[in-house]
Amino acid sequence: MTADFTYFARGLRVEQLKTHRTMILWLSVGVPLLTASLDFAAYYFHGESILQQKHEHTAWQLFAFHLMVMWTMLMLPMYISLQSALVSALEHQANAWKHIYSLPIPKWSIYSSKLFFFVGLLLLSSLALIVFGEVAGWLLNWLRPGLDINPSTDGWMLVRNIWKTFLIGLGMTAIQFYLSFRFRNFIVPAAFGVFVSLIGLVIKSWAYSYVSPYLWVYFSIRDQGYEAGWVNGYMWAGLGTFVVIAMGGFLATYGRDVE
Amino acid sequence: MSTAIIQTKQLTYSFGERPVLSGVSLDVPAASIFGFLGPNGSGKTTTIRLLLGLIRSRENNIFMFGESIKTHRLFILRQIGALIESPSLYPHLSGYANLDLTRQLLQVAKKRIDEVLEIVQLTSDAHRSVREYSLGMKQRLSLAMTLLSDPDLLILDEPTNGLDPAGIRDIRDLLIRLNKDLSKTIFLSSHLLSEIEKMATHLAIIHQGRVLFQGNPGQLQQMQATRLILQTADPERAIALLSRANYAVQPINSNQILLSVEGPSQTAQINQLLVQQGFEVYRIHPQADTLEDLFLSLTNHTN
Repeated sequence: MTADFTYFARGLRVEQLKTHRTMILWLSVGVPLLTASLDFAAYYFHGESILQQKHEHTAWQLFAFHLMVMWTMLMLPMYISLQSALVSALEHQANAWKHIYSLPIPKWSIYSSKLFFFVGLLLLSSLALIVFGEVAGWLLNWLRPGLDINPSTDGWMLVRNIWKTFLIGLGMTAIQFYLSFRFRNFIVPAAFGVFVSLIGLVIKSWAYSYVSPYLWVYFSIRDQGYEAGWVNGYMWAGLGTFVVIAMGGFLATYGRDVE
Repeated sequence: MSTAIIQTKQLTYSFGERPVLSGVSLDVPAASIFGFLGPNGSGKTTTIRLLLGLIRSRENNIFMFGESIKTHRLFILRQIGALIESPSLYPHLSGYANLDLTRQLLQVAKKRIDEVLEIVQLTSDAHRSVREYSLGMKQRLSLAMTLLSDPDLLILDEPTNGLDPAGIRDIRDLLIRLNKDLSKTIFLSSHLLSEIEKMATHLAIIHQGRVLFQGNPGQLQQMQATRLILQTADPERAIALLSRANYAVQPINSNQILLSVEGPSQTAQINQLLVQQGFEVYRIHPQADTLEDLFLSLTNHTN
């Protein structure tokens, strides 16, 4: 058991080292920063018109809600699609699979350390979004006091919801990761993810749109973004999808010839 | 020298309906430089991929260090350093960082990086980005990677591919040094016959997925029909006589003819025949084939 964990831990460390001098880590904080910046700019320049209608929620809750809608509807699916392609492209471009699979390390640790490194990147992005969202809220509170955006009116709103979208997003993370691991061509995982995300935008009001794991993060915010709970049904669906696809993906790659 | 480090038994493999290997049986002795020769597409890389478990044989017919790759994959791979075709390097990282990635996966002490860099003479370029390396430097760095765990066996697939003559010589000298000084067993595939000839203590020739020869270079020379050059005062009459005696014979110039014989005893018989018929035989000597001639003759024969 200890030896197994050592393989896994070393694999994670090596994955992190491989990303030096690449865009991967920058993308992990850059996309949340962009999301928070866009929401900040929208409220800074058009805050009065956005908030002019009477709402049952505070200005901060509306600000956070819009931030999370932008994140879950567009940024997160696109980010996961692109990032998954980038992470596996490191190996594909370096012709590294044959080298890695001829090293004395278990095959499961190769797949799992890379997958969990990717999950770590998603976690980093989620944490970055919370930080940038809070900072944007406090900045607006200071720069545009008339908008009355005060993050302390619901201090856990971002944490609560981003926590949920992180866990829900694991489902599409596992799908995208398998595609990027399986297909040498960078275009396949990136195009698939972007295409499914865009289709999701079109069909999101359709009665059966809930079948798409790429829309669950958005539905979680749209339908339950103001709710106080830390758990919802989409979370279990996301986690279940992650477990099934991660294990299925590993088994599908386990028996394959290494190119 | 008799212990087989690698042993395959009637190894067969197909890509779909297309057979790639048919009954390949290899015995690679310990501490040898085993040249695995064959033209492009003959099945060399497929054999190496099977040895390393990158593709899988249905039968239990690959044994290394006395164990089956099917059941003892990690045990076997711990004793192997492998370089398969082109180098597997991350171009955005330095040579040192590339080695460090593999070092961490192998759980080897950090000082080993400096040692292998010294062996492949890349110490001064270790911190440059691999993107700036020449192909020869990349090959040497890949070789350094195979040496990190100080393995007993190196499996190298075309390690001199794409290198200039100086690069080829560097790799050759390095491999000979590793074999002689550190007793590494080296399984080396190549289509560059001249390279194998200069290094190999043992060799196998593979063509169209079949092993045509296995042994040492001396045995290969003996296996082939030898050609004799014969010098006599009357070559035309000698050709007529020898042709009637069913020897393959042809003129070279005004006093020399070329004969194919199957062994030393035939040389004596030819000499005796000519002398009995009153010929003055000035000289008989073998025309030795190079390994390349023998290789081409073997592989062409099966086409």
